[in-house]
Amino acid sequence: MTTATEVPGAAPAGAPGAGPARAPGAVPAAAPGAEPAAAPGAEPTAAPGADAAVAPGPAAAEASADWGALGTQVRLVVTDPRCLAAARRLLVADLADVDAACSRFRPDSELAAFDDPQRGPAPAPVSPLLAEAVEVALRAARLTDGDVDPTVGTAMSAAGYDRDFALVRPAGPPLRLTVRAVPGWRQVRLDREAGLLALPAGVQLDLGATAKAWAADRSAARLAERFGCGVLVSLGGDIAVAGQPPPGGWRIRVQDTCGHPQDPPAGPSTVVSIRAGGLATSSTTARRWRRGGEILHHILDPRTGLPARIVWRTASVTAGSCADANAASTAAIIKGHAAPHWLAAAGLAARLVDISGAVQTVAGWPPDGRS
Amino acid sequence: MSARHKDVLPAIAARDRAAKRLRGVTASVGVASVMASGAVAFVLPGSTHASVTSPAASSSSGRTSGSAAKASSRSSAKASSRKKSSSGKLKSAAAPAASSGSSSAVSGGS
Repeated sequence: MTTATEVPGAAPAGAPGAGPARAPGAVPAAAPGAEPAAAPGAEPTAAPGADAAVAPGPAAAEASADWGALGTQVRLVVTDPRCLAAARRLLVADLADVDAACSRFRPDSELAAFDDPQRGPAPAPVSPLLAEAVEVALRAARLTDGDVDPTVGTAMSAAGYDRDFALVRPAGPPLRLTVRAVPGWRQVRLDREAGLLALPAGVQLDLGATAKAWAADRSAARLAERFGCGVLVSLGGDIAVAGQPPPGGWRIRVQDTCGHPQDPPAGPSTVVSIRAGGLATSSTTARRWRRGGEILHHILDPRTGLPARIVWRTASVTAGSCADANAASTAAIIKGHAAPHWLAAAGLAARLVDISGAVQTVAGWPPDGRS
Repeated sequence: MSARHKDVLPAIAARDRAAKRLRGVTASVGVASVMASGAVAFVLPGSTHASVTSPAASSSSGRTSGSAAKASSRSSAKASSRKKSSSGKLKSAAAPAASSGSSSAVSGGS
């Protein structure tokens, strides 16, 4: 389902404020034929002015669009409503490329080909896009002391998360899970210059922890450069911003569970603003399922291959990029009680909500206010 | 001392003075090189430049002024854009500011 909404109070005349904002003619950029559709895999040209429908000029207001991709909710916000339709098309194409390269659940994805049991451990050619995604995942592993490890794929499938989350049964019979450390990110051999990736037999990559955040960074930067306006890309709450922010910065509601910006918040929430980089929230409540009497969630501790012990319900972090914010927020869930000290030592502002709902802020994150 | 030696002595003195001047110039050039390389090192991207105390850490008291936060944001963004993905630490950013009212997006866990 695709919907587009305007931030309240920001709708200029002719902007997609009411109803089907992307109906032809609703915004100049949406005019049929105004811009060739970006085919999946096509590299959009970055030349300013190449798209005649994207007129230069100061941002009049924020405009936004929402839809689903990568198994999660996508939200795009731009500070120039005239760019929304064209920016959305490019983001759709970007995410289609990422999905085709990195999905663990698509049998035709490039990543799935590396799971082929017939494939030996010899290095195999890898596309630049998947190579970059793997590099980001390995970097996250290295900088989180191995807490965010992409080799959890097999353990994740064993825990029941073996398909798009929308298709994961919310409840089922008990599982027999074995405590076993995952193979470890150091087993992965990536040679970006040669374009080769080698995985030992039995090692399945799960890029879910980092790929969405990296994709948000990648697309936000590309769209901001292309259209010359402020851009916010949210992929399931992993938020990247680029370009000139709106006055006062990008306002983001941080809360325990996912939701629409205009929905009433559930659980303790706060509103903060950022001007650059990214904000990510990892949660043990957002993607969970039940097997037997056990509640399972999607953040695995690489040392056990099991869902991390729940100390924090959610961990939200701001960083210089969404990928780094996501790596830190995921690591915070896994580090448990050690998270506040680790985040503070890294200078990463964070908001942690413990299992009782108590909020702890770190490294300059403002205390919750009335919002 | 022969007349020939008398002729040579001023030449030796002149040569010594020239050698001292040369050493002085060489030393100056050496100092200038060090300063120049230091300046280049300051300007060039790299771990040294990127490891400047993070804005988030410096504002951990939560009392960073608005202008300081903006400056930190700008410098952080600049440093972030210079750093390669292989850098040795997660990139911090200016701590978020408290806000209220409607939001552009929700971060609620993924």
